Amino acid sequence: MLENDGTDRPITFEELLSRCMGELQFAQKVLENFVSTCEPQLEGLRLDLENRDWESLSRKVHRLKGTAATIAARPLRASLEQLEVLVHSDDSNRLDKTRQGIDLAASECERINRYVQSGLSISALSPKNA
Amino acid sequence: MKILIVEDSQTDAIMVQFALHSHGHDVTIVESGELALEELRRENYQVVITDWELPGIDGLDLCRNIRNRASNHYTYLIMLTSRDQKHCVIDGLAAGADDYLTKPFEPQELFFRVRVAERLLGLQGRDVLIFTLAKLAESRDPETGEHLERIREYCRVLTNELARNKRFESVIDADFAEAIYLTSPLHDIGKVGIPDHILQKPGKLTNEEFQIMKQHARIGGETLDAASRMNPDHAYLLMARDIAMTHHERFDGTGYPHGLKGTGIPLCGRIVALADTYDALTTKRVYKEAFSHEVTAQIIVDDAGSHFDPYIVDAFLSCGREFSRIRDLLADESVRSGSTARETFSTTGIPGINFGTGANSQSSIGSH
Repeated sequence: MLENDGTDRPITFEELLSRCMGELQFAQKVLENFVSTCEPQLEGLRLDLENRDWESLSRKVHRLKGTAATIAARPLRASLEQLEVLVHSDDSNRLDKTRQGIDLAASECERINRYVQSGLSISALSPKNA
Repeated sequence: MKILIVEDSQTDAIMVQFALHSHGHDVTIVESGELALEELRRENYQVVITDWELPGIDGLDLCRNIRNRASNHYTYLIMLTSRDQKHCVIDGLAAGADDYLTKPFEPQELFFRVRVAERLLGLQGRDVLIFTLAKLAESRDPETGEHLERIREYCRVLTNELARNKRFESVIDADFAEAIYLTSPLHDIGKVGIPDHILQKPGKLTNEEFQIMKQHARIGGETLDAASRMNPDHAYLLMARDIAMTHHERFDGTGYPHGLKGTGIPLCGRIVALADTYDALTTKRVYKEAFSHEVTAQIIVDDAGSHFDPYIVDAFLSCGREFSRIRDLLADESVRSGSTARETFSTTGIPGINFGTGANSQSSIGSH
């Protein structure tokens, strides 16, 4: 079973905000954009797994990992990093473990979604940035 | 600057766009390498920032494609990818990327990397500026057409050929080759100081007028000398000065403005002298038809040692076919058949040509 890195928050918002040059609204927009693209991306991973298209799967995991890094989604990035290694491995249980890895990534995406919907990012920093 | 972002992750793309847009750059996003190439065919982008992993052709192939396409301007390529292993950096740079950044990126870092691109491309802007100045000076001269374009190509070919000769290997290096290509179009920049009634005179110049016309070499040389003294770091200005000052010198010492002789004439001046003359002979003037390459080559051979450096004539003979090809490729009306251009001072002013008569005669062939 793959685990994330144990970080509580799905997004290290200060890091993202710094990357957005302190523009709170833009940071929020970036997160909303990410959330809106999550589902089709996860669907793509599942489809590749179903088709045993490891090469395409690897590319998509890699891309999602890059985006996770960009938005400072550390737990998601960590889980995708492990998934990327797994996809390239010759582990006898690769198929099952990859499925679990995708599920874990999906649950991380869901956590990010809840985080964004709840406005936690803004409320966490709003006194400073309002 | 116009910047093309090639990124299939929407979230990453808007982050890059945000980082650059906030600094006033004009940013366009495409999602694949194929779309990038299509966009580059349609528009000129100074900078392309590309991810490695892309649907279809990947970032590496995109870089190779951009580097291999024929283009009249340089495209600065930055790879922005989460591949951070050393061998990936090397592969990216080997494919033609100028810079390599890993994700997650800091917007400020990206901005400063793009500023480096801006500086480097500014050097290309320098080249354009030099050529524009040369064109501006030429625009007053009625007999020009694609003259400057051909001159620098002839110089490039001659220089490459001479570089094979051991005699010149200590002088001709990559910097020399680049500088002569860059500055040879400035050879007649001094014509800006020649009055219109002389420069554009349709008939033969009087001796007095010809003496004034000859001043263009000195005017150009001295102007560029002043520029090079003010900008000592810009070595190419020294070559520009030498070319402007000495391209009418003759190997036997009968040229102008200084009557320099043999290798006392800077190599760049000796090269441009031949290139300029070849162009003058192979273009039509009111007093003569355009000579064929063969006839022109014979004239140049006959003038080896008197007008031209014999080694440069040898190099010319070795790459004659290339000269002929450039002439055809960059042919304008004056090369193809007949120009309506009027005669200017540098010509004989008579149907026949009297060669090798030296600095005090306007019957010296070819160029101005």
